[in-house]
Amino acid sequence: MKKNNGLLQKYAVFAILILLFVIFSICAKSFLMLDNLMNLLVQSTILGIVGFGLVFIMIAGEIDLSYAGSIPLEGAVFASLLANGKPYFVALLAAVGIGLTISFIVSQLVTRFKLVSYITTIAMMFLLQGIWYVLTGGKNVFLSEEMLNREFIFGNIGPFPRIVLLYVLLFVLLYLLSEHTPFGLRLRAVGSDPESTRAAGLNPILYKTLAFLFGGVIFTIGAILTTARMSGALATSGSSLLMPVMTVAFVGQTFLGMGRPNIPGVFLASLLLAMIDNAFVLMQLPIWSVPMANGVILISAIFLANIGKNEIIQIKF
Amino acid sequence: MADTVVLEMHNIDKQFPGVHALKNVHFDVRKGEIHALVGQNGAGKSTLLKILAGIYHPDEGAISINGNNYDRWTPHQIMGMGVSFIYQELNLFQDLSVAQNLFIGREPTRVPGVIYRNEMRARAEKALARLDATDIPVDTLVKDLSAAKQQIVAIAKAFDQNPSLIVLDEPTSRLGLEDSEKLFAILNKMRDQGLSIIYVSHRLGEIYRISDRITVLRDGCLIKTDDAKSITPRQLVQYMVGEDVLTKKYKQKDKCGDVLLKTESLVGDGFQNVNFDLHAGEVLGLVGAVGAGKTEMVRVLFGIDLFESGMISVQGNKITRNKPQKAIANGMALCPEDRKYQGLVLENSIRENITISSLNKVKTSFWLVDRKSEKETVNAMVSRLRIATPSIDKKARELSGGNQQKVVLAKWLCTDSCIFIFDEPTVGVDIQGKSEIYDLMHELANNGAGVLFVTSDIEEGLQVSDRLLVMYKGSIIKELDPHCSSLEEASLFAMGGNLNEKE
Repeated sequence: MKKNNGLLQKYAVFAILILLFVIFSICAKSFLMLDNLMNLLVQSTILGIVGFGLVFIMIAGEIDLSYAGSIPLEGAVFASLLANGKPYFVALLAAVGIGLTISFIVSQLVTRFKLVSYITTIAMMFLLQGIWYVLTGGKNVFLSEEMLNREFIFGNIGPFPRIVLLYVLLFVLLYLLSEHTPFGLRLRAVGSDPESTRAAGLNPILYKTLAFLFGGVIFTIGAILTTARMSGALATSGSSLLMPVMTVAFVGQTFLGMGRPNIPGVFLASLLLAMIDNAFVLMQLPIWSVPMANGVILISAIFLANIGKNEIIQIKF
Repeated sequence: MADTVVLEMHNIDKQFPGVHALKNVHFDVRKGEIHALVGQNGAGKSTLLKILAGIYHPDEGAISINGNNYDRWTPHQIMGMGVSFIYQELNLFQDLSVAQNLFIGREPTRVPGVIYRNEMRARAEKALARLDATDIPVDTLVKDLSAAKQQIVAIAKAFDQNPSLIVLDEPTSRLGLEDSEKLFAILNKMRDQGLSIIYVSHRLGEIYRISDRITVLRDGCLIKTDDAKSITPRQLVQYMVGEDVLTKKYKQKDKCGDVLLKTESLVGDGFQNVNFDLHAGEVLGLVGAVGAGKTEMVRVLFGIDLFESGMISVQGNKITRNKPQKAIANGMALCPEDRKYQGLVLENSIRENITISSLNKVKTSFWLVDRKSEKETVNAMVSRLRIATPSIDKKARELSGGNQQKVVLAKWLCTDSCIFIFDEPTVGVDIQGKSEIYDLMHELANNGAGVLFVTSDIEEGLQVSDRLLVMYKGSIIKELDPHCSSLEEASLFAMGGNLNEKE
């Protein structure tokens, strides 16, 4: 019985995914069509990628909610530069540069000035939203087909859209980095106990800073992909991501029996949410049913992950 | 071993705001010696060691390691020079595995920078085997290990870095008799092979057992450095405290009062068939090795855990299903073994900690806390117990071990308790603090309370108790009269000796 429980907890999320897949295949027309499945994956990519960034920072024991402000801002800068005829790499560099600057400032406020990351990054988010307004005058920036080569990102290699392949590649790289390298282990150590890291001869300030910078770059990737997807930079791109990304980062902790922020958890949680969203649209269910279903299914996933355990998997924060 | 000096710290001077922590201290360690560093809390031991570790910088002074002089150094550099530290707080990562803890910072990797897990596991197993600790699976998370096993992992980690100098701060505080003996055997072996060891401890017995030389600090000054055999225990205490503190003998009590607490055939998780009574006016000692079942029984008495069968009666009331609220209502008080996390709220102030169990006594009729009354009560406690603090609003976690213990006791003195259980109250407390705690226990008894004093330090059990119970593997196997019993006899019982059947 004990052995079964261990397996159940670890793979509960897969059980739910498969179960839902089967149910949706039956109940939703065209769910199983290749086009739709690819669409589903695309829907989960941006959520997942931004989630990867957040989780990286959480592994190091901090949190960064400023993405809700930095993503629209970076998107706006990227889109504006492209709209003005600047080459791709200039726009990219600018977006990444802004991302790194924001992350660096946040990291120093948290590590050297010892400000609490939760409050600091929320404040940063507001600040960035304000800057967005100044930069864009409150208007969305749209990109036409010549300015933005959508095909490049959303075109297919084989049956898969390139963005999905990028997502999977990022997933594999970040998974290896966070779970199998000294760098990843040291980030976890800093997240677990910064004082002991110092005693072990490592510099906690360095590792936390790197975590913020790394997360910031990943957020920027998300910003660029969002802009590409929407063919422009929208004001709502940040606020619409705020809660879902937090959801996948936090709930993903309970998947796979981990009990800590992890990359695969985010991947699976994003998949789960995208699947529900997609199927419900196909089934033409009312719009309020999606968040309800999200809630019920996520609670079930957490519940299953904790059955039989003496200690509920604690969410690290 | 030759008298080559491996470490020399000279003219070390360090001031903090308001405190002159170290005054021109000189300290040296030879190759192949175990050098004990002793002194009360506040004497400057940890400051000196933190300076050695590179965590603090001295205002004046320098060190020399193997003949090389250094004015400034960082933790990383010191580790690179072969100096390893095992702190009292262990500095292990609770959420990482044993293997990961052992190799953090020096992870074995394969070509593309990926951690070579099998290699890390194999090396971890070897490191543990050196300490004869093959029963710890290297993939277990450190937080799932017992305190003793965690201590062993911390020690294995330091040894695996092949240090030439190792600093141990109270290493046996979490170890039982058996594990302590294993540690001493290993330290002796390493010493004979040329390792230098700085050993910090409050347990004088241990110090005399294993050290070659002893250095005493007091109030930031070096008092004495000499061979262990040239200093008598009484002299040592004198150096540490500054005055001749005679080992107190507590007056044998006259016939004691009513039975306040009684158990019959009590059986629970970790103990069986426990029978004893606690009378008003006595200090009843309970000794036994780590793991004998003492704390398990204490938890059941206080109602934290349920018992399987048997009977507990408190002040004449029979208890079937016990809970802490019931225990407290019946007049029981518990100063737990883990005083920091179970006896106190570290983030709260002294004032909040002391009144937390008796808030109904300091409230106004509008259900608000009467600050004036609260302050009076707390200040009265602070002066009665001589808690050393500039303010009652200081956070509990900033106090020393001895003072924290007093705050826990103060909390209970504000309630109407008459049965006090102290579980390992003097761990990590210096000599003066220990003496004050013993005095407090007897003061409580003299005022009519019953005190149950649980400890794994048999010497203090004998010194302080009126009657002494010995627990072994979950049963109380003997009652001794501390005034007529010797340390050897009591230790023998604690280790299960003198039983008819060999287990």
